[in-house]
Amino acid sequence: MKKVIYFIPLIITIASTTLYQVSAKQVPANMNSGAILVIAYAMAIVFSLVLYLITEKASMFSDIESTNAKFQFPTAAVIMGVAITGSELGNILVYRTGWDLSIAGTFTNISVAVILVIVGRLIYKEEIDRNKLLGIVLCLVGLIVLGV
Amino acid sequence: MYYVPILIVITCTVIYHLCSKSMPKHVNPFFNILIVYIIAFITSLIYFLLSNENVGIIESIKAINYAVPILAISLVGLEMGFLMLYRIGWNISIGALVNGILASTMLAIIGVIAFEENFGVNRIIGLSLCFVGLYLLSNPKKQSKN
Repeated sequence: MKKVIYFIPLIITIASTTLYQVSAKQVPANMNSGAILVIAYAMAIVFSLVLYLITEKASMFSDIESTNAKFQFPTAAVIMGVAITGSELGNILVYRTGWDLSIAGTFTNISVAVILVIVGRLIYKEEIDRNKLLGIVLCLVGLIVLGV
Repeated sequence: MYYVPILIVITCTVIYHLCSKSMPKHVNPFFNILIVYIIAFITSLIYFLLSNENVGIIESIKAINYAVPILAISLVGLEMGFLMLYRIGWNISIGALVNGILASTMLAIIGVIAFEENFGVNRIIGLSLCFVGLYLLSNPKKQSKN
């Protein structure tokens, strides 16, 4: 059961990434790219507000929520908000410039994964043993071959 | 110009992952997501006002199709998934990589079936290599809890 819980967020993320790339390719070309983002984020605010209210009412996160914690300015959330706007805008423009669905996703994934492996090692001291190194190399070669 | 948008995506996605892992852990994750979208809404509104595309807001609203609400739903799913992923201890390098490989595989399949994209021998070899690599990577017991 513990292993199932470990993989649930991954399944949500994979399904959402796939859905996200397909919908980014399918948004109408005659829409202003800024307007697409404004409308999508307005909807996302509503969806996440509803989910926040539901989970608060059900006390789903009461074990982690701390009422005594000092208020901290959500710097990470602010930077993330700007970063996802750049990421979404870039994705919409990627598909508008004619990239294939399979190639664009692969290109992004290889590059992000390589950079994050380096960042994970440098900042978070994450362990990379020989098996993982071989796995990463094979994945990267695979993604490159897939993207050719 | 062909590579500029993808460079923007890569840079912003790396920043996005670093922020996902640095989010406050003592609050409801949906509160974090809500703040992120409010900031993203403001940033995209500024971009919309500054951009000089010839399509106005009214024409854009008229052109909305099913992909726009699906995009919004998948955005919430994406943020929620990554926040939960890092909270339960996935490493920043491995979580993004496993997601990238599996999502790429699904996108390749959808690209071929729904968008009639080319799928040659190179893509079959590529997928096989990815799965062997994934097998070597996906041993959650050995991951450190960062």
